[in-house]
Amino acid sequence: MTYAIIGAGHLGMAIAHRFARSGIAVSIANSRGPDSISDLVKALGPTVSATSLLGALSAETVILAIPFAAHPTIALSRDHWEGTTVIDAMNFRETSLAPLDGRQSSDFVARSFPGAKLVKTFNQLPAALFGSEPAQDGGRRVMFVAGNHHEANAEVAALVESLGFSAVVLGSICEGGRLLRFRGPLVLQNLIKHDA
Amino acid sequence: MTYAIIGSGNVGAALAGHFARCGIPVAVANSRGPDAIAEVAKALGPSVTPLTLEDALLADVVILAVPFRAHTTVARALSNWSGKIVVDAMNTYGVSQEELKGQASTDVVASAFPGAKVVKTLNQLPAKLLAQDPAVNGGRRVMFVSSNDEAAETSVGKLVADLGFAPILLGKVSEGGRLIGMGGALILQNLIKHG
Repeated sequence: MTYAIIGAGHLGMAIAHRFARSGIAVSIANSRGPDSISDLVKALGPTVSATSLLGALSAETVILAIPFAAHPTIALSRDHWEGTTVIDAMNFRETSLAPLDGRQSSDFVARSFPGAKLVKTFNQLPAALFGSEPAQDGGRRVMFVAGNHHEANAEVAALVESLGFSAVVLGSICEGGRLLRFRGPLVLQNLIKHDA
Repeated sequence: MTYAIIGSGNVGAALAGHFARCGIPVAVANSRGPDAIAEVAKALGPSVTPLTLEDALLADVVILAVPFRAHTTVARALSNWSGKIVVDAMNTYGVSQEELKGQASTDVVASAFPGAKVVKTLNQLPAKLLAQDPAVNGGRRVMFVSSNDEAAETSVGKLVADLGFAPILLGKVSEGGRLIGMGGALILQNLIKHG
């Protein structure tokens, strides 16, 4: 599986940091080109590489860590998204775009990426907490995962676990996923999971 | 607000222990009568009072910690449940989907208690873990709460916090509530909330 992070802001870099700590190869790209982040990326070690946006979008799993309003532009960079897993790590705020008309923001994103298997995760913690060590007090920090493709959910949950978190899969977007919406009950929760 | 726990098995006793620890008065009743609970209640201290089922049901908030099928017996003990909050702390081990007619178990409970505001919580941890001090490593053990009645959900969320847990309100039964139903993603999760 190849991974790419789109966006090199606080969240994108925090995600890259967790990949680096776990020794999992990942590329990272932003709209300003790889030179703009080469120093930051170098500091993360050999498993993280800065790449062009187009290069990053050829990964099997693409992680969107950009402002919500920027995702339609990213989506248009490819003709189709068949076979790609797209991780929605974005937060929707009312001011971001046109109103969602009661739809979940991830459903909105899914429509922008036709053919992609969309999974919502990595969106729910402040960047600083995301980047910090998920193993704590003998347990692991919880990362919720939701999406309409069971297989993609399981794949992304395995990635989340590899990054050191405890993945809790909430099912489809209309069920568990709505709890991960902006200001939803499972957002901004610093939870450490221990054995029951 | 007055509270009663119906059932004095593992879950009922664990809950009574939390009320006692936090000094919140609570009545406890079971089907065998108050004498059967007297010793346990005495050991827990003055905030726990054994009562008959009939007297316990005078409480504003009635917590069901009985085997799932026994809830109908409790429901029949009162002709009018209007104005009461019923906390569904039951799980449905061994109850088939056919018996629930495909409904969420809390919806089945709600139809047995006409007029009551039903809140699902305190159901999601094994009794042994439920009984433990919820303050752990500087954080608090999470207790999810769900109800179709927002005010009742908030009120029970506050009780859960007063008992030392970190409540997370999941909203309606058809939304977050499913996740704390049998086999749900948020069942049997030992989560400690920090910050």
